[in-house]
Amino acid sequence: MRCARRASGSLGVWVQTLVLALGTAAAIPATATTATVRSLLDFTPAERASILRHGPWPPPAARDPANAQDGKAQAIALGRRLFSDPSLSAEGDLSCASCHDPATAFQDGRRVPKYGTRNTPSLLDVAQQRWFGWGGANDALWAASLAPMLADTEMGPAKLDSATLVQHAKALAAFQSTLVSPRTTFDAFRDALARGDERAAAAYPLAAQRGLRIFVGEGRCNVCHAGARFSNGEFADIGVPFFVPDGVDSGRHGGLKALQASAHNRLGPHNDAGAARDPRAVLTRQLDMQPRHFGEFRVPGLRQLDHTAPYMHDGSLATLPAVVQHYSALNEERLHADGERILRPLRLDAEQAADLLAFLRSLSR
Amino acid sequence: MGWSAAGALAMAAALTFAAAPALACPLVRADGALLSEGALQLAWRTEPATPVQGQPFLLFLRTCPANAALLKVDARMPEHRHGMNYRPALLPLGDGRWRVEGLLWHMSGRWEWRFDVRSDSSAAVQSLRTSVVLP
Repeated sequence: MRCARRASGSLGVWVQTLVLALGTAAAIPATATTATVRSLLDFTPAERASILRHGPWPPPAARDPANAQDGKAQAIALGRRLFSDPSLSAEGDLSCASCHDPATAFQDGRRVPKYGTRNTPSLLDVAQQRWFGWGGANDALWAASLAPMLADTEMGPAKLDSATLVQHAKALAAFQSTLVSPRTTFDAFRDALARGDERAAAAYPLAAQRGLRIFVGEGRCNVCHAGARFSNGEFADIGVPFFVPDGVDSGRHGGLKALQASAHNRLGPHNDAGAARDPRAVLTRQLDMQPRHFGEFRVPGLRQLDHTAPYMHDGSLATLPAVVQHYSALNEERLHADGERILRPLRLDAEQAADLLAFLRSLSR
Repeated sequence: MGWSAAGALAMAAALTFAAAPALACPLVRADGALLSEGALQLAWRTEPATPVQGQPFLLFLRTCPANAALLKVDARMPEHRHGMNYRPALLPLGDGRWRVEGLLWHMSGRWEWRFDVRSDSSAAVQSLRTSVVLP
């Protein structure tokens, strides 16, 4: 996070400078107002409504009823310290920050970790997720924070007793709840549209506007990448192979089984509010295991995407252009035969691909 | 009583009347969106009125006759060929009213409701369906 803030600060100045430069140039041929308004695409009312649903940002903080430590300053401070404390690991050589590096948007920049088959996700905005891990094996951030401390392939086996571990995990979750990504040029554009300030909206680069039109229009990317975080919080199969060296990664199917068997879910004894008084426990109780969940993985949010390469659950796509190319040339035969029928190759030409990329990059700072 | 106070009271009474559900069969629009098949009537409304994509919401149902049994609630996206990721819980509130929890529409587009109801123990199950588009 520290590094992300440093990077975003310098980039933010660069963006402001560019906008000023554009504004100066626009003043030459006509009045500034006329020139800038002309650089706003003629978004339809339906497109504008879709765009507005991707904000405002940041959303109000929502406390987790299952974690009584959430939002408490003392717990946040303890969690921040524990996050970088290698003594929590069995060998004393690994901390949360070893993989979720604050200098790289709280991920590790690797395709997959040394002893794993899944990409390490960023922790920015993590508290807004409903399910945690690529397969959703946890339903609370504190439980997801506990899991690496117990896993022999990560920081485990744990040296501490169960009650202390749970309390540490809840402090870690309280700290991670503070990791909210900064506002972006997209947010300034979206808010300008919301208040009817077309001149301010026109400061958003045209390429990004065209890419956004693809995103909410023909590309239908927002069918899954919805809301202010650009994720519907659920799971999907987008044709990324799920074969791993020793078999297959069943994704949500395995995640559901693990979640329902866990003593550390919202229905269990460690929920501080009690399952009956935790509104978020309802969805855990009503989960429905279905065959199509096999090979589905969590739909990630898209904010700060520029800082979280590589991409996909297996880290198989190294760059953002590779992600755009994946959707442009989607292998339909790889998708579930009886399942989702909304995915199809976007078949973008070079200019459209560049526009979509410009929009995606505008979600980072 | 001054004019403004009387007016305010009258307005409050009118608003209360408009917001209050009807108290007896047959069901009326104030009970929710209406569906019917033969003698069976069903009114439904969600909370919030327009669900938000990717966010849980509640469904409130009322049947006429009031002793009808609500057996199943489901919602599917016919064009996508899938339903929800959750199996809703049906909670009877009495007097033909039901609260349904565990609902979440994770994609925008057309969702088709299906309500399975048995009017009385000797009747066949009736499936009432209607569609809504989630923006």
